[in-house]
Amino acid sequence: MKLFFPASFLILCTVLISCTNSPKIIDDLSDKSFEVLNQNGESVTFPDDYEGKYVVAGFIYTNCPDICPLVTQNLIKVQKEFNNPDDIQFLGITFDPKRDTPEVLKNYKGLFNLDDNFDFLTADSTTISELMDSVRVRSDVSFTQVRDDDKEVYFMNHSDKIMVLDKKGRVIFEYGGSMTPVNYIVEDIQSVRR
Amino acid sequence: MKKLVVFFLSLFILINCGKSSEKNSSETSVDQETQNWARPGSQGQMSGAYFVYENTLDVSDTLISVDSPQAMMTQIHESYTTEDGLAGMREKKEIIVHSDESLILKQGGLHVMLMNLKEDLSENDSVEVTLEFTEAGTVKFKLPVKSNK
Repeated sequence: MKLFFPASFLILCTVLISCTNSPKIIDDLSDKSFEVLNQNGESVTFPDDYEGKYVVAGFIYTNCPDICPLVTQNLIKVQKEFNNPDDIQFLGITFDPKRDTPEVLKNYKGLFNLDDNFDFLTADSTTISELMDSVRVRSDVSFTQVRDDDKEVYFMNHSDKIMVLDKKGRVIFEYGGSMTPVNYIVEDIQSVRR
Repeated sequence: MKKLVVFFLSLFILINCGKSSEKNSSETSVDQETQNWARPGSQGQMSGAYFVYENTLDVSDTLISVDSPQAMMTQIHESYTTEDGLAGMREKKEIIVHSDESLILKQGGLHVMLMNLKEDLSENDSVEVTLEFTEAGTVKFKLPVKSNK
């Protein structure tokens, strides 16, 4: 009986420590595999090729001039806060593969002066659709306009999202991509990073 | 009794730990950027521009059009959240600016939509934007292109 309370205290401490380091698994992508292309046209298997790294991914389309650049800028700020870490991969994944080809994504990346640890991903429409479904990112064409050169351009309503994957390809944090203060994301990653 | 206290305390901690990865979106806010600037963009792609215009007239004014020589098509758009929680964008054809009030174009809100850029917009370039108001007439802005906003 004398040992009961010290033992209870130890159990409580163990629970507290394990809670701090083990966030809730939101989505498990470790059993999924998506064949995509990066901005250089190189094949990437998502999330398998990033196993062993944390992944911070935002969802964008390059014809979005306001919200999506905010998402990208938030990713960049997180990267800078960690001083360009080797164990964290940053990704911008398009939900508009029809227009966001690797070449377009390469130009987009060039606008932000990003390093190799920051990739933009696209794929065929079916793969992107499956990938977006698996992470619950929605997008719809909201309206179209005919430009002065008679070409039609469309705009999209979309989820505003950044997510963090652990080293095993499991989604452990999600945020409003354009709205969340960067320190929230940084602190969450710091709490699990080993 | 003490055993029960320990049990419920443990239960309380476990329940709260499960919530550790959730964030309250109401605590977040879009960066309140109100300076005059434009985003970099590639030829044929889009860019956005932001500025603050103060209506110093004694009467309300209405912004009725916007133009830029560096884009094939220029409009005022507004970012907003749709009823089902998606990030959306819509055109604003007219905007009323009351006397002594400011028209603020900022990230996550109203912005100039520069469509089908005629040339690349890079850091240290500038974008010319011409606004037409019903009362003030033509107002011109020259906005620096900045990448690290």
